[in-house]
Amino acid sequence: MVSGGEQAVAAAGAPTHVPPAKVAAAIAWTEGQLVFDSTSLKEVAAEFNRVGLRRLVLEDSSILNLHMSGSFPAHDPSSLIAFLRARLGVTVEETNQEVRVRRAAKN
Amino acid sequence: MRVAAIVAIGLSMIGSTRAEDATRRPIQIGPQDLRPALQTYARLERLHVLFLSEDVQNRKTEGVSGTVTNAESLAARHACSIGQRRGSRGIANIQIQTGAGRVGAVGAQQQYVSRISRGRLRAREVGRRCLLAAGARGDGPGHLLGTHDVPACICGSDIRRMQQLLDHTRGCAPAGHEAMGL
Repeated sequence: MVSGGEQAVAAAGAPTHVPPAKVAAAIAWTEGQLVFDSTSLKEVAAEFNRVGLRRLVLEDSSILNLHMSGSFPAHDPSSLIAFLRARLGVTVEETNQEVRVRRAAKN
Repeated sequence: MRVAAIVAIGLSMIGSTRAEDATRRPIQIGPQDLRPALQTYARLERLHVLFLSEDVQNRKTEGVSGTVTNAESLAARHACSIGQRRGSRGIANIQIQTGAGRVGAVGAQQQYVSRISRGRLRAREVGRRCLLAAGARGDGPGHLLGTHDVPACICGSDIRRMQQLLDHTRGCAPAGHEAMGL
């Protein structure tokens, strides 16, 4: 039985898990926001690419398994880009079609 | 003379937004892990806050309570000095000299004031309506919640309000202090 505020997670060979639903994150896109709660950057990129106007391409594999929490406007990834640059020290190249994140070149 | 003039600009900025401040809501965040506390803070203040979960892992906060209105009122009474200058590339550099210890407060203000520490905030304006607080100890919303060294990107609908929130939760210099780095 799944009650309000819960979600069911079913997988083959495993008992059905009923954790609390992350309702705020699930409906945030309806308000033009992307909300993450300890989500891997790989998943962040996937979600961004699902709803964003530009593609987010993470070429630096070393950051894929870092986990991000927080939110940003789906239509305006500038805060995400700024954060990645500042916190991870990566190189970010932007075009009208995509945002490409690369490992920063060493001097 | 130049320093005095810039300090006066900083103070006039505080005064120009005081009417807006009166509508701000109180903040009540209880002791808990830092990650959910930051998320609660973002929700209450209607800000976008981004951080790495790894940065806040196993960190706790004692929480924070009070209202920004009171903190700003307190800051104004004690002539908080904020210097701001605009860089040649359109980057706003905000440098704040914070005081040491309490400057005198009661009630809800006390928890803000008790967090006063020496430090310097460097926030860059990035994109539209975003502040990036990073680098030095005490930056980012983690400081508000009593935990240092949590770099974060903070965004919201009112950049001036965000600056003030960040500024005043770091405490303000007692009267006579001048803004630093000017």
